[in-house]
Amino acid sequence: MGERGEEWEAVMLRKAEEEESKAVKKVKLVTSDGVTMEVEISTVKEMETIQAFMNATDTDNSIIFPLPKVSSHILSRIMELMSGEYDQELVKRLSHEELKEICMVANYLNMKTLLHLTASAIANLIQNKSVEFVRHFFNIINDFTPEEEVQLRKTHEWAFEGVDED
Amino acid sequence: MKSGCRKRKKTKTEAPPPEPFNEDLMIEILLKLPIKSVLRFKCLSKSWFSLISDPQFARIHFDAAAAPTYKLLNLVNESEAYAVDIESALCDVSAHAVSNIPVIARFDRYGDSLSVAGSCRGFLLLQCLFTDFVVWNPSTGIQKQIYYSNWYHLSGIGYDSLDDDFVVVTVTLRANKTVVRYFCLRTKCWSRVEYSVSYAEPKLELRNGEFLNGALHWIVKSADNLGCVLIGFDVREKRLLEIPLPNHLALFSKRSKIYYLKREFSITPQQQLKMNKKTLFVWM
Repeated sequence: MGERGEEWEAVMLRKAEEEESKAVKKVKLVTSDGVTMEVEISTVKEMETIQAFMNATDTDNSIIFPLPKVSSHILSRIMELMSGEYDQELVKRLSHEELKEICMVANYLNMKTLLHLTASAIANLIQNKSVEFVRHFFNIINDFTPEEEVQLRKTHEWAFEGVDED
Repeated sequence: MKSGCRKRKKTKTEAPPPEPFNEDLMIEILLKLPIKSVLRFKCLSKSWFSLISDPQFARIHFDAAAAPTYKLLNLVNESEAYAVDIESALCDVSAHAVSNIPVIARFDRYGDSLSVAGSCRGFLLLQCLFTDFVVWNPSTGIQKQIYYSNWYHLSGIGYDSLDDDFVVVTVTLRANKTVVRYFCLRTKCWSRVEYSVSYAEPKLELRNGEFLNGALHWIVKSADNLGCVLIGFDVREKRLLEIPLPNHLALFSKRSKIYYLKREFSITPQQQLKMNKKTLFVWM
């Protein structure tokens, strides 16, 4: 009985392995710094830009997709967020640079949930911040003359009250 | 965290420099911000200024459910007005609950005679001694004066979403007819329509219409003065409708006031049998 049971177990295990390899099709993503990352096809489903490409090529074999605008560091951060089911706590742990880059990649790859999550996090971050903080945050160059800026601030004076310290 | 930052900076020098946020992405973020932040960020640069000043942006920002604000406006005197953000007041963020807003520039001229005649989508309709109207956006300070010289009983401001136009409406209740005058802010002219139905005027405090589902609504007394009817003026179709009230309300709601809860109507009879004891009917 014991021997038979072990045998049966081994068969089932092999079967399960076979099925797994069949079910989980992988996609190879090549990042801007030349790293190839193999990810599950289910992950790519949320990346609508890649999905559109895959539908157009319609192949059963593994696909290599270049991501010249995404670094391996950012891609692995995105994978973490996705496997963590977009936990807010994970987002809070990101640095400002990471948050901005992930938001841009989410926009580029058309990942709706991730875009909403990161854009909301950025909005939360800058909501009560000064104009100077936000200029620095987005690398915005101030092209107003000092007189123009003074005038503008005067127009909406109430919007400058109660702003957080930088 | 610090060492992580340094490490990332190293890899960043190898990678191409980060691209600036494009306009779509900027809009995505701005739509999630309250009006106060958005106005402040007009100062960031010329491109942000023109993006935020675009009327198309103002429309979608208002419609975005992500950052709605419910404000209670309190005009204290000629030089002070406060906007109380109801939601942050409830959340006890006292620092952000009250903000001083710029008082309407003509306030000193109008003085005490200025009163609120309606509100819609963040705009207030102010009236001055039953003559001129002023449409005012307290957040941006933008105001428009509308000249008007006719007598009227009911007033209000509505929004035509298809034409993206605000419509100021007055209703004059005559013994044998009802006269509706409306002013479209786009065409900047008054139009007049007459209806052969007649109604009796309601109490003074019930004269500001409630805007809901594309129409301004008022409760008026029926011509025979026995009961009440709800009338609506569709600001898109520009026509007057009569909406029958539920039977039990029609009789005793002469002093009812309309409020609306999100998308449904509620009618409150103001029967002050006892202080603080009012009946609230929710009509859906």
